[in-house]
This record gives sequence, structure tokens and C-alpha cells, in this order.
Amino acid sequence: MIFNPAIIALLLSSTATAGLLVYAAVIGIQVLHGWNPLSGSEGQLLLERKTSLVSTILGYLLCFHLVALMLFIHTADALHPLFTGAMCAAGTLNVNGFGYPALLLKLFNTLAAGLWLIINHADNQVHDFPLVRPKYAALIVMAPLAALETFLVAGYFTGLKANVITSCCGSLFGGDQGTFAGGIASLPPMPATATFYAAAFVTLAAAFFVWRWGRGAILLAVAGMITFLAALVALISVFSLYIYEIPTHHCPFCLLQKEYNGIGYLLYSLLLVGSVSAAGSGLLQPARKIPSLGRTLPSLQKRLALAAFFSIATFTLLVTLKMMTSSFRF
Amino acid sequence: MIQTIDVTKIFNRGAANEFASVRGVTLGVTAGEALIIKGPSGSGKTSLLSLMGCMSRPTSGRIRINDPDLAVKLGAELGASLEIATLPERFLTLIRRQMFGFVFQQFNLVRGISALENVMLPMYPTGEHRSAIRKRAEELIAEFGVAHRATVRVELLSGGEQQRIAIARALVNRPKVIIADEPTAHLDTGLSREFLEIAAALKTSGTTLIIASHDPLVCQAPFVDRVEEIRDGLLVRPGSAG
Amino acid sequence: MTCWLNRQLNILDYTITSLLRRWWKNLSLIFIYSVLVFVIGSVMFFTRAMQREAKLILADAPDLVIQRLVAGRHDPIPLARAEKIRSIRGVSAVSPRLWGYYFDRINGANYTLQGADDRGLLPGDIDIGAGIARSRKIEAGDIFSLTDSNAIPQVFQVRKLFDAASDLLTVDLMIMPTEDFQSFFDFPADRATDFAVSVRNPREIATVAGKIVELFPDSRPIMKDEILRTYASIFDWRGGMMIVMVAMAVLAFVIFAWDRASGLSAAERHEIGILKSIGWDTGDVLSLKFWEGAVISLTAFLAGILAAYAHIFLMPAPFFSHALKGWAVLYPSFRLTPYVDFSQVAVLFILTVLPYLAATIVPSWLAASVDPDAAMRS
Repeated sequence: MIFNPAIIALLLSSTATAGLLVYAAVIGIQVLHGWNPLSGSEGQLLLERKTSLVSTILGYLLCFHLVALMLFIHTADALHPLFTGAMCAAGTLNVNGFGYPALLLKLFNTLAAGLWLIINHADNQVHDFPLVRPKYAALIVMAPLAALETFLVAGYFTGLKANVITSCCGSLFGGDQGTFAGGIASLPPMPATATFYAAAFVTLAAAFFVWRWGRGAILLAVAGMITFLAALVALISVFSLYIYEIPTHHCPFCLLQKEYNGIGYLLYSLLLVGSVSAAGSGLLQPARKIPSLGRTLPSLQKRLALAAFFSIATFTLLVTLKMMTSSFRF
Repeated sequence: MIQTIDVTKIFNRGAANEFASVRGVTLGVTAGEALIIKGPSGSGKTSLLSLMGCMSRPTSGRIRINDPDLAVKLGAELGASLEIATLPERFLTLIRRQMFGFVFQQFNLVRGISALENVMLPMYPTGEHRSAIRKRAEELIAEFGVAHRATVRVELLSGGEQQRIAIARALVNRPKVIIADEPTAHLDTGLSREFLEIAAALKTSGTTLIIASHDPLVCQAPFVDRVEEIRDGLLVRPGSAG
Repeated sequence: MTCWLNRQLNILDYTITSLLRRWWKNLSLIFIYSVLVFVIGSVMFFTRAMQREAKLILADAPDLVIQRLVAGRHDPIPLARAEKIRSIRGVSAVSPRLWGYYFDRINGANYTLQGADDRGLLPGDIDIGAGIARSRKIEAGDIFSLTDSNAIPQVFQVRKLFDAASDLLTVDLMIMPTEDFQSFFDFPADRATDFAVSVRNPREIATVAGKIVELFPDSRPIMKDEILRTYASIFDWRGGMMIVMVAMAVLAFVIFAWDRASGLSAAERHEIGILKSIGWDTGDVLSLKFWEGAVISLTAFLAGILAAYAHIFLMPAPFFSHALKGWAVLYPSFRLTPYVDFSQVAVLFILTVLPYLAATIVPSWLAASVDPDAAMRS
């Protein structure tokens, strides 16, 4: 294992996050068991107060998740000199089988925490706790995933042995190779770009629809998720070339390096906010059948749609500008 | 305006030290009325006040609040007549902020901060801009004639000044109902009379008053519309065995 | 949104007055907190700056160094081999190097002695590092003696000192002409300490190294990459060890913070009771507690990080350069180039603020769940 302060910090944050989430899930089990909103008993009052503890915990968790996610990629990037063949995070994450699963799960857990907070916010708007059960059931699913993430992160870092020859973004995202990532990189630029723009357009249109007429939230959610994936694919296969101005460099992580003015952080944040808002808006749609929520949800969905609209629009605008001003041409 | 229907409040339910502080009380107060709840200490006065003031939820029974403005502020979904017995605490707090002002037995001012800040405190969570809150608090303090003491820390104020600050704090959110729990218990006669004068003025301006007290001075004050007596958690009605 | 923001600002405002009111109570917490940030921050700034320093020094180092091993020990390499190595395809230059260590009895330090002809040194002249000059109290132009391998004192004239601002490596360095070096150490004239080999294409370094080993099986090739990697992991490892040791302190701090947060005084409990009775919600009190934690954390974090920055980059890290640098008796008084990046701040945040926040969530909530009518019942 490589011993360095960032790795210790990441292990600590993963463990603390998982611990807090497991604690929240235990409260969730209590809530699912003893919940009775019609009762004025002290037990019910205590449970209701515990729900505010859980929302606070989740709020902190989202913040920890975001810092840890960035640090994770940054650390993987910083470690690349230790591995022959690794030139950036793409290679370092590939040193053992835990790297990419850990990253993806981290991403997923962050998204889940964000969505949970959106649903929680919706639930807090009304007085009859309509979403308590799904919310706490979701916590019980999220806790093991956080524990799994800790396991993967620990497995990844303990499995790091310096000087393992690894394939880096050059070969991983270098196209014409059997890997999944290589497959993404070698996708033809036109269809990848077109798919992204089409998905972004549908998302923007759906977001506008939801904002203006309060309809089409499900479409927005689906389109938002597709845009998220299409944007990642297009980033790897097309946009990265324009940003790096090197015809063979497809790496999605190098975007985060200083040489590119941290444009990666901006792009990924926009993408995350946009897709979480879009997904949240759609996720709330079934809850509109609940009478109390039916009155407050539409305005929340509209605000989410607005957030999705602006994030996705800014993202699209940024990459388009980058493509137009770049010296790189296919 | 506020109506309790057969409310019961039981503490430590199921435990050995379980006791019922309010037992099946049905009591209403109409807008603009001045109601005194009379009874010895430990009779359940305070519990009843806290139930009527949305501070706690009854173990059983119902509490209704009827106020058109409240319905507007909280959104139509709760309707004009609110059944508050099962509302989450969050919403009770919201109603409390809109409807009630509280005056406590020992003023309960926050020590170590200025009189002005004490008056501003209830408004902090409402999300109003600080300067607006400050303006409102300054107006009130001036109205009560203690403007020159506004920046003094509360523990350095005289008893009379503390009382005025406490009342100003209760009024800062423009409540429709003032709830006072034994307001004169620790005051000399002069200050008690001053309190009653202020209370009378509030009533004239249309504020509903609910005061728990066993001070004859309060119970016999001219502005009082009605006196209800409570004993062992039960209302003592004239004519009933009590 | 403005409503939410105003609410938070108002509560923050109250938090600050309320903290100032009890500043003496929070002072010990902030002090311990910032010491923790200071120690961890210092370790990280220091190791990272050292890594950078090493990288800068090694930037000028040769791509490939060839040593000769005899019975597994480093032995002078015959000069005759240089020609054969130069004829390997891809090699652009081979330069023999002469260097060794000298133990100075006077102050018990090890110096690095190097023989070189390309500096225009006359016989009897010597260039020395600033560290040596300081410890022997000499300046340029002074006469200065070293004891040679036959225990006979030799006198040298100091021609110049290396620039003090230059680097870690030159602090204990002395350079003299090749012939002086050979006679001083009785070093055979047909040998060199090792060869520095330049390779035209950096990708071929490993191939060239392999060919040299094929040619001379007793040689040991050392690649620059390997040195860099070793440096990086040594410093990482040292920093990591320090932090694991500090982990006990973090744990103690977390327990302290938890205890502090859960042990509310009667006065504080009463105050929260008042707040709740006059219209503050559990969430508002939680916000109050959050801001309290944020203000304390931010103060301690800033104080600690600034102190660590000053300690490492403005002073020569007096507190623990010994523990982390530790390779010579002669400590160079060089200044590290200030270098702090996002990841260091994030790591510091996770190692100090995160445990604090996590430890105070539950106590804060307990404090916030006072019954609203508690103030009436007191």
C-alpha cells in the first residue's frame, strides 16, 4: 500500500461517511417501525425530531461526498508518477480492479445523496409526512452501498503497488482497443456529438415544458440521465480533443488538471447539478398523486427544471464555445 | 379563534412516573377576548397554555385554530380552520411565529446580549431582512419608552425595563394572541399594575389575551372578559362539582 | 431563496454574538483545534515541498547512472568501459563522475566531495557549500584543511561558496579538481565513481540500460525515474507515518469536541429553550449549531493553516525538519518554495474539520431537540 496523507484522508472520509449513513439507516429502521403520524405520543415526537437529525446528517454527507470525490480523482492523478505507464488518473485507477468501480460507486452515492435531499425537501413542505416510508427505505438501501464504497476505496488503495506497469489514458482511451473505455474513445465523432446535442436539446425543451406548463417531468428525468451519459461519452470521444488540442488525447480526467484552468471542475459540476435536478424533478412526479404534495410539488419541480435548464444550457454553451475557439480540427 | 376539544396531555406515558397534567379539557377563546386561566401551581395551567399556544401536541383530543390570515400565509392546503393536534413540530413553530407572542414568568430574556437583540430574536428565523427586523424592534422599544436602554445588556436593566423588553419581544412578530404565564408572579404591585395597563391597551387594540395567573390583581382586572379555573388538569365549571 | 438566505444570515449573526459572549469557553477548543491543523498542515506542506524540491534537483540529474558492483558493493568503475558504452546505439554521451563522502571530525558531519575539471578550478582550490562554510566558520578566500586518506592534513583555498539559495544538494558539497580528488582519496587514476549516461530518446533508457548490463554484467544501472519514484514514496511514507501518529491526537480531539458539544451547560440549555419557545424551530437551532461549528472550524482552520504555512515556508521548519528530512547531521537552512494546492487543503479539511463536524452532529441535534415549552416549565 502507498502511504500518503491524501489516501489516509480518503479512507477516513469514506469510513466516516459510511458510518454516518449506517447510523442514519438505523434511525430509518426505527422510523419505519414506529411511525404513526396520528399519534401525539412522546415516542412519535422523538421519531419526528430524529428525522431532522437524519436530514442534517445527509446534508453533511453530501458535502463530504463532494470533497472526497474531487480529492479521490485528484489523488489518483497525483499518484501517476509512481506507476510506470500511468500519465494521469485514468492510468492510476486502472492499476487494480477496484479503481474504476470505486470511482463509479462514489459518483453514484453522491448523486443518491443529492436526490435524497431533494425528496426530503419536498417532503418537508407539507404537514403529513407523505414520503417518510420511501425516504427511509431508500436510506436502508444507501447504507450498504456506502459501506461497499468504503470497501472498494480501501481495496483500491491497499492494492496499489508502486511500479506496476499500467495502461494509461493513452492506451485506455486510445481507441482501437478491446477495452470498454477504448470503445467509447473510438466512437465516431459525428454521431457522438449529434447524440449529445439531441439529448441536450430534448432535456432543455423538457425542462422548459416543466417550467412553463408543469408537465413532462418524467421525460425531463429520462432525457437528463441520457444527457449525462451522452455528455460523458462525447467528452471522452470528441470534446476532450478540442480542449486538449491533441488528436489522440481522450482522457476525461486530465480536464481537471491545472493546465486547463480547472474547466473540468466547472463542466462536471454543471453536469452533476443538471442531471440531479432533472432526475429529481422526474422522481417527484409519482408523488404528485398524494393530495398534500400535489399542491406544493409543481413549484418545486419547476425550480428543479429551471436549475436543470441553466446547468445543461451552460454546459452545452461551454463545450460549443470550446469547440469553436479550439485550434483543433478533425 | 382557538378551540380545544377534549384534550389530554400525559407525560412519561407508560412509565412509572406517568401523570396527566391536562385531562379532557374543552375550552375556546374568541378573537379579541381576554381570558384568564386560574388555578394553583401544578394544576395544569402551563400545560394548557402550551397546548393552546402550539408549543406542544396533546396526547389525545383536538385543537383548532381559526384564522383567515393564517390560512393565507401557510398556503391554502391547510385550510381556514386548522386542526393542529397532529401537525409536525415544524408547522407548529410556523403557526406560533405567525400567531402568538409569549410573556413568561421570569421574562426569560437571553442574558449577555442587548435589549434590542432580545426583541429581534423571534424574528431571526422568519427570513426577513435584518434591517427590517431591527426597525420593527426599535419602534417597539421606543413605544415602550425604553429606547435609551436599547443597547444595554439585559441583565443590567431594572425589573420594569426587563418587563417592557419581554413584552416588546412578545409583540415583535405582530401576534394576534398574547399568551402570558404567571406574568406578575415575581413582580411587586407597582410593576404588576404596569403590566395590567399594557395588557389593557393591547386588548383595546384588538389583541386576544390568554393569561394564566392566580394573582387576584390580574383576575379582577377590569379588561378581563372571562376567568376559567383549572384544578388537577380539569376545568372547574361553575355549578359542576369542583 | 432570499428568505432562506436572510434566515441563515440572521442566525449566523446571532451565532457570532453568542460565540463572542462565551469566547473564553471556546478558546481552548479553538486552540487545540488549530494546533491540530497546524501539525498536520506542517507535515503535509513540508513533505510536499520536499518532494517538489527533490524533483527540481533531479531535473538536472542524468537519465541513467551506471555503477559497478563488486561482491554486491559499489566499486569504482574502470574508465575504459566508457568508450564501449558510448558505442551503444542511442547513447549520446558518457561522462565519468568522481565523488565520495568525507567525514569531518571537527563537527561530526558528512560532506559530499566531488572531483571535476569543468569548473576551472586550479590545483589547491576548492568550492564549498554554504552549510560547510557556516559550520567551519570560513568564507571565500580562506584557507581550510581536510585530512586525507593517509591521515595527513591537506590545505585548500576556498575559491567560492555555492549560492545559499541554490539547493538542498549543494549545502554539504565540496568540489575540487580531479587530480586533487584522486590524490586526496588515493583514488586509482583509471577509475571513476560512476558514469552518467545520456540517452537520446527517453523511451530507450530501459533498453540502453539492458544492453549495458549485457555488456558488463557487474554493472548496476540506476534510472532517473526510479530515483524520482523512490523519493516520492519515501516522502509520502514519512508524511503518512507522521499523520498516523497524529491520528491519536485527532481521536483525542474528536472525543474532546464531542464531549464539549454534548456537555451543554444549564445556561445554554435554558437559552436554547427560550429560543425554541419564542419561535425557533429545531431546524433553526440546528442551523445555529452548524454555524457555530463552522465559525469555530473556520477560525481554527485558518489560524492553523496560516501558522503551518509560516512555519514551513517562512521559517526553516524548526519543529520537525529533523524528523522528516533526516539524512545528514548538517541541516541546510534553505527555504522551501511555497507550494500549496487544492488537494492539500482538501486533505486537511477531511483530516480535521470532517471529524469535528461528524462528532458534533448528534450532540447538536440533542441540544436542538429541547421541548419548546421547556422555558415555561423551568
